[in-house]
Amino acid sequence: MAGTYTEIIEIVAPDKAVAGQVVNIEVKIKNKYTSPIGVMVGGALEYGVSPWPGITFPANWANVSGGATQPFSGYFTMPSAKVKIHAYSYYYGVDGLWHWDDEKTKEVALTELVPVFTEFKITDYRAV
Amino acid sequence: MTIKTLKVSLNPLVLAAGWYQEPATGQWYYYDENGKRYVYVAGYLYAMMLWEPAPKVVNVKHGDTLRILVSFKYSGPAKTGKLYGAVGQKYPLNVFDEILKATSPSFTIPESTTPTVRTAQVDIPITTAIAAGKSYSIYAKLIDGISFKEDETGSKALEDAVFVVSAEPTFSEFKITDYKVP
Repeated sequence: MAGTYTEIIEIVAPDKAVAGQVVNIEVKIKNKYTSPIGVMVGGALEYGVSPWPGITFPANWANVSGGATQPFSGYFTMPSAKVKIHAYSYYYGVDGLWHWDDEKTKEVALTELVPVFTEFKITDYRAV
Repeated sequence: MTIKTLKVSLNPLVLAAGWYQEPATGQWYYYDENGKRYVYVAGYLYAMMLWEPAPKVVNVKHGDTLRILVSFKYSGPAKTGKLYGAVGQKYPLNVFDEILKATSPSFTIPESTTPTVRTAQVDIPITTAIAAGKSYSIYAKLIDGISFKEDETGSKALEDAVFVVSAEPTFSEFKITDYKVP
């Protein structure tokens, strides 16, 4: 369900990741208003027991033109369990405060590492 | 047994696992699930190798040790392995006849989520099992639960990479170069 002024259009993330892998994601938030507003993103990883770890967004807010969609890049380290990315959007109100507006989730499954060998070659040989 | 007729050159094509017969010669070959090729001769399967000219010739003598160094890329969970190296001759049908062989101590390949370069080495004692005055070929592969596949877990065979020099004093080309009144 979209918010009053913002709507999380999409969470771009892989369907699965390996434990310990840095997972890059993108949260696309639309300004539903007709004029530019400040839009902020937040996120948490739902797994295990609350409080859940956060998702890092190096640039977590922007002034977004009316009707435009702003992508926010973020990342997290995959734990040893499947996770649910929980993204939140906020708008900057006339009261000078950020207001939580919309939320969206996406699951990332845990995948196991498989041994892969490539580019085997003899680099040198000599009498010792 | 499903028989497939071999219509084209074996190397470097990858074919489905199974038996193949070359119509011109009647020679039987077998491909396993990993694409490894074998030639069937007198009731035995011999592993065929991919060959390439050695980049250099190393002279060795009996009593020396030949050290083979390799590199490969690996991604996956931590895994143990050993490096196997062999010195031998090229037989017909690209079979590598191993004469000298050695295995390195076991080592651990660390876990990595992205392909990472790893190195290993194996020392092969040069014994009188190979004759002086002759050239020999080499190859190496990872073993200990790791199946062989050229360029992935093992090398191609390097033809004539090693020459065994004689340890005995050798004289040759003696000649009178000049004679004069001093």
